[in-house]
Amino acid sequence: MKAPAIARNRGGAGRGAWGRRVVLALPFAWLLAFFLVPFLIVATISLATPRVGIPPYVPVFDWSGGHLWPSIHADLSTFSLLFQDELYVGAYLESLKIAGISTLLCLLIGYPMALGIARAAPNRRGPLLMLVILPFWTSFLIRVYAWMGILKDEGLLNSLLQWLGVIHHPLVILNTDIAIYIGIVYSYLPFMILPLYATLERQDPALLEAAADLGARPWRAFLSVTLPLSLPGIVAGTLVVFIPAVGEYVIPDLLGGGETNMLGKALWDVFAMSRDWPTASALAVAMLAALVLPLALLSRFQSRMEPAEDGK
Amino acid sequence: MTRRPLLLPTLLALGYTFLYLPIVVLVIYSFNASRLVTVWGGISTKWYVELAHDQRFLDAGWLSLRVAVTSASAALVIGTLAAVALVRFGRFRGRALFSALVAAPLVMPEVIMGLALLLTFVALEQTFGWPAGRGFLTVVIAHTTLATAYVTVVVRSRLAQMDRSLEEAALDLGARPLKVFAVITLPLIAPALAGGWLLAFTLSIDDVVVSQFVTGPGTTTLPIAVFSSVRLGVSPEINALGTLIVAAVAVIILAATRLLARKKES
Amino acid sequence: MKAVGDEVIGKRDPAIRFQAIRKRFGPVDAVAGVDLDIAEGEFFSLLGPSGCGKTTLLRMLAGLETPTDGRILIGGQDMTQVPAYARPVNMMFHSYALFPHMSVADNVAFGLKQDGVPKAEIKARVDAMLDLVKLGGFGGRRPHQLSGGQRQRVALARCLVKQPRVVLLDEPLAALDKKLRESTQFELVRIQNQVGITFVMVTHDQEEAMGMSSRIAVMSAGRILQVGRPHDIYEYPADRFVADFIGTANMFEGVAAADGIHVEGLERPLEALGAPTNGAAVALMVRPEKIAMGREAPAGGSNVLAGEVTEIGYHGDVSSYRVRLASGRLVLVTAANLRHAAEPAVGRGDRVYLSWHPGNAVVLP
Repeated sequence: MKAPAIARNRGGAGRGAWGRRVVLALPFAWLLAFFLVPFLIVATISLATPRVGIPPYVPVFDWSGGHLWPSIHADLSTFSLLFQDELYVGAYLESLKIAGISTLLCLLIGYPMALGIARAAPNRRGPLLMLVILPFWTSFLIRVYAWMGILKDEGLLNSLLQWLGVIHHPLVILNTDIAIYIGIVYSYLPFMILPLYATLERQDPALLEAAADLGARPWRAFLSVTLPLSLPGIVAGTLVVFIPAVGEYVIPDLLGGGETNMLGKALWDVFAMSRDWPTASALAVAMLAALVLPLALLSRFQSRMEPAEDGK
Repeated sequence: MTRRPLLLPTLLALGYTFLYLPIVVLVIYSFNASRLVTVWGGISTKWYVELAHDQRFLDAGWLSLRVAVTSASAALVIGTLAAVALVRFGRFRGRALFSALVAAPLVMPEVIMGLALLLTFVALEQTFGWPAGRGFLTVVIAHTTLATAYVTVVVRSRLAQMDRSLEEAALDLGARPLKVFAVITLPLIAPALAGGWLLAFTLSIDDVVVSQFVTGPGTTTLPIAVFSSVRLGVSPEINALGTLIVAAVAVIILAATRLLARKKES
Repeated sequence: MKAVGDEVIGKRDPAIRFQAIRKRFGPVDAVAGVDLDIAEGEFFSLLGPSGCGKTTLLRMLAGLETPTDGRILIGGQDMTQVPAYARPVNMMFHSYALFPHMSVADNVAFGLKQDGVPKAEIKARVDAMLDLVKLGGFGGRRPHQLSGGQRQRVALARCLVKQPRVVLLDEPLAALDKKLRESTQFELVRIQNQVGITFVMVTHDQEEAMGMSSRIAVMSAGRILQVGRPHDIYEYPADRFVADFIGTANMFEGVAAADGIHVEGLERPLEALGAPTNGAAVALMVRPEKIAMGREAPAGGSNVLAGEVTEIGYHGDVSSYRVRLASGRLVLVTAANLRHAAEPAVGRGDRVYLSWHPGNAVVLP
């Protein structure tokens, strides 16, 4: 009586574990192969020496010697060049500056909007939120392109201002940093509003009533109740906008003109024009280095929100 | 208390104006007979006609559609499996790494993703001879990787909200685990699956940066075609294309809203 | 080892037998060694505070959790490793777990479909079952179109329709409002009598357990403290925890001696039946309604305590009184309000005498 029970036990547990393994294996393998390994390859090639040929670099690990261990041609010169070249150092700082200012602007515009939606009548919140997300579903590229037509010297904005008599000579906006700020804020605003809204909507309205009841004026109540409680949303929204903005490539290319020097654009130029893969990789590594802290913050943040779903 | 209720709606209205102004301008100017933005040359549909005869855009559009459908479907499968693992498997070995890998593509700058994937494809080809060259397959793989993260987020939150005891009840009533997944779990997360697929489709059909890295000669997706044409300056054909996209999205969203509303009623 | 409940079951195979069942979640034993037999046709309740392991025990019976140690037998067969979908056991979930995307009839039919029952038979059995729970004609509705009470009955129909050996109820009444809860108690017992299936219910509500069950197991910290009929558990609790958890108890802790139980602060020892005389530390437990209260000292009573009424709680049918003894100890007394519109016999601040018959008190270790 005992033996078959044990056999069944093994069969049952084994089958369940096997099914789980399959479910986990496919996404895990995919992400390892096409997300984690690619980063290791980037890191490796950033240490390679550029050359003219296919591929356009000297492999770091050379197995041609026939030994068990490859001979290693690691080369830090690409990095030292990056640090010496004013162009790259400038691009680095410029990227951080533009991403930082754009994120701040996003927060300043997004917060009142998120608050406005969260304070709207419950049956209106859904449609209002939908309106925020909707532009995201249409082509990003074409929406950025639409700004070109608006911001050009002889574009819509300038014609309107001149027609109103506010200005007499067209303002130069396109191909400046201002156009880039507009483009980034415009494109990333939904990503700022969504996490903000999520935390604001969850706040118990009775908290504000309690604050008012205890004598706080609306502004005071906002500063001492609403704002601190929405901090998780602010952090999440800021990171979600800042991180991709640092590497933004399309917006500076279309709205900033050739002048603006951001890392993403520099990377593409080095990669596509000069075919210098080691330098492009080194730029990617440098960009990641700047983003390590925000990325780690974000992942800590997400894992802190997680236990709610794994409870039990 | 009397001032705030006015302040917020005003800011909200300004925000929505900012979000929708370029789209409205785009739509209006797609019907402008004049090539110049500032000059209104009367209503015309000539840019639509021109677009319809532009073989470059037609080919690119068809390719993008195929890429988007393929990669969205692949991302749906992989992302759903990842979501099931994250929500249902509790603590397992490698969970922290897995969780980080799943979420990272959401925020990773696209230039880095693009470069990393390209270098991987090159390395793979050198080592295994696969994938041979760059084109449809490499773009699909890249888009699938990008979109999987989004599908996982959407499906994961829906799964986490789902009452676990529904699955347990089905099990208790005699349904085997796979059957439970098919007749209980899948139908209940179906809206999230549809949403995830659409999101993945949109990401793919809209992607320029990653595509530019991993595509090869002769494989020009629609965004790449648009990008190279836009870089040369304002072109009214793009206005027409943008308007068509806006119209398509509006129709889909409207249909989906109707469908959901009707489902709620019944 | 002798399993609890042998005296009820006799020689027949029990419907359910837990043998040395243990379940460990991380560092804690949610269920820490349970031996229990439940007889065929019983309405059995697992009663205890939240976190006592009662739900885990129920889920192990359903096959939704696997025991770390021990065996579970259903109808004499070892089911420990049999998966949930193959057990002759059906559960009514705390949340009812009705499938929201299926009609009421499809929900009830779900289990039969899994077993490959012919269509015509499914329809007949589903209809019969919906009639039994008084939901005939509701088959086409969706769960969200039903009231809480109706949903509860659909859930019950869904687990009865497969004619399982055992029906498990996880807090079946918790989601209902108070009035409905009372009528549903009778309804559940009626249906159980009618179908004759063994019911095992988990609840934290002692009134619910007492009102419905043939027997109750009181659990705490993963162990069963006492198994017995409701009357036994209330009148003869096995220990202080059970006495305190079931109903209200006045507890007099003291030392047992030949002349009674010596309690600190009381002038005379308390008389008790069957108390040890060896100087052991014991507690004498008296239920509040077993204590008589009056302004005059009763003549010749053995357990008489004098005190002052400090608080009165009026509940309509009964009133409860807090009486402070000279030593400062508080004693709780309840008395039925038998006469309509009568002035209460006792007011706040009155001096009263409390007394009880020694047979109405229980000595606890």
